[in-house]
Amino acid sequence: MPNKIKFLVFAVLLGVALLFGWGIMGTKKTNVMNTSAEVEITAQNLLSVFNDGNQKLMNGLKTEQIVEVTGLVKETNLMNGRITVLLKGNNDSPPYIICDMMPHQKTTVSQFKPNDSVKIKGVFKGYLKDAVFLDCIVTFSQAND
Amino acid sequence: MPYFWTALLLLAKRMIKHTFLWISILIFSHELRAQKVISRQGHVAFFSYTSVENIKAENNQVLGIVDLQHGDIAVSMLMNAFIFEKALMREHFNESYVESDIFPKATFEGTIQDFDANQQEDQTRIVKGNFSMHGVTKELEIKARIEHVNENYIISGTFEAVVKDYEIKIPPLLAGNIAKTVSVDFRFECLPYED
Repeated sequence: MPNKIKFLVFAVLLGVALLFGWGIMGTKKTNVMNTSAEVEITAQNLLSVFNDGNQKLMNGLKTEQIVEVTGLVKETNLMNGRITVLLKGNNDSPPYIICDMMPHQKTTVSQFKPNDSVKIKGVFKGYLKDAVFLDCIVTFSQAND
Repeated sequence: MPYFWTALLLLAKRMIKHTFLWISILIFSHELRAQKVISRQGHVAFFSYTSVENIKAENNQVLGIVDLQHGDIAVSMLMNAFIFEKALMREHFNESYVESDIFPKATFEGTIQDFDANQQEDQTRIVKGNFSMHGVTKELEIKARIEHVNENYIISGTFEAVVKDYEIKIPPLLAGNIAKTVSVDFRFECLPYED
């Protein structure tokens, strides 16, 4: 096989390999299940960033980080067809932490009652009036009757 | 004895006055609370249809607040909270198109025209306001349907957004994959405001 063709075949194969690799890397989704949390925080402390402008905590918290939040369940709902858990701080009033759960969490979440203690791990997306988390999973739960 | 009747009359008058005062305070405070409604889990979805591929994304944590007295409406959403079918689409959307690290939020501030918060029947109204995304603000007129269910209001509708208007640059190689105009659906289930 002439060298020119050999080089051409090699270049094409390399191009395909690079494109395939880029495609896999590009489609890689943050795996909350198998990744440990970069930040562990209580719901009260997380909300204090928003309520009291807690600068120290604000600096340590970045969007797209995997964060594990410990708190009490305010409510669960299926609004917009999404499994959602709202966590609260020390009192019953807003702001809350809105956790958009992964689909396989439905059974676990359906057993939650208000004031249950939970630990939820998810991707922190930022603040509006409440803190928003996506791709959430429950790592611990305890009923508080 | 006449003193007794005078005292009783005075007491009755005072009780009526106080009762009236308390009823007024109760009604007034209830109205104050009921003046605003809020949706913490508003839904916004956009669709891009082309012959090459269809792209759909949704955000289910959109904040919407409506002032019932004046019909003013404020909406805010995190651009990185849109969910896509494919992670690569989400990555392109956030990093290349809307640059969500530089422009993390999109907002809408406007007024519902001729809004009657007391009307029990459904209303179709025009919402006029400014929509800001990717650092660009555009004036929009959106047709919205408003349902009044008990103390709650459901506001829903659809509008078209021109991608070019918001200075979103699509690389020529991907131009065929993304529609020039995207269709945007929204639905806000607003509950009485609690602070």
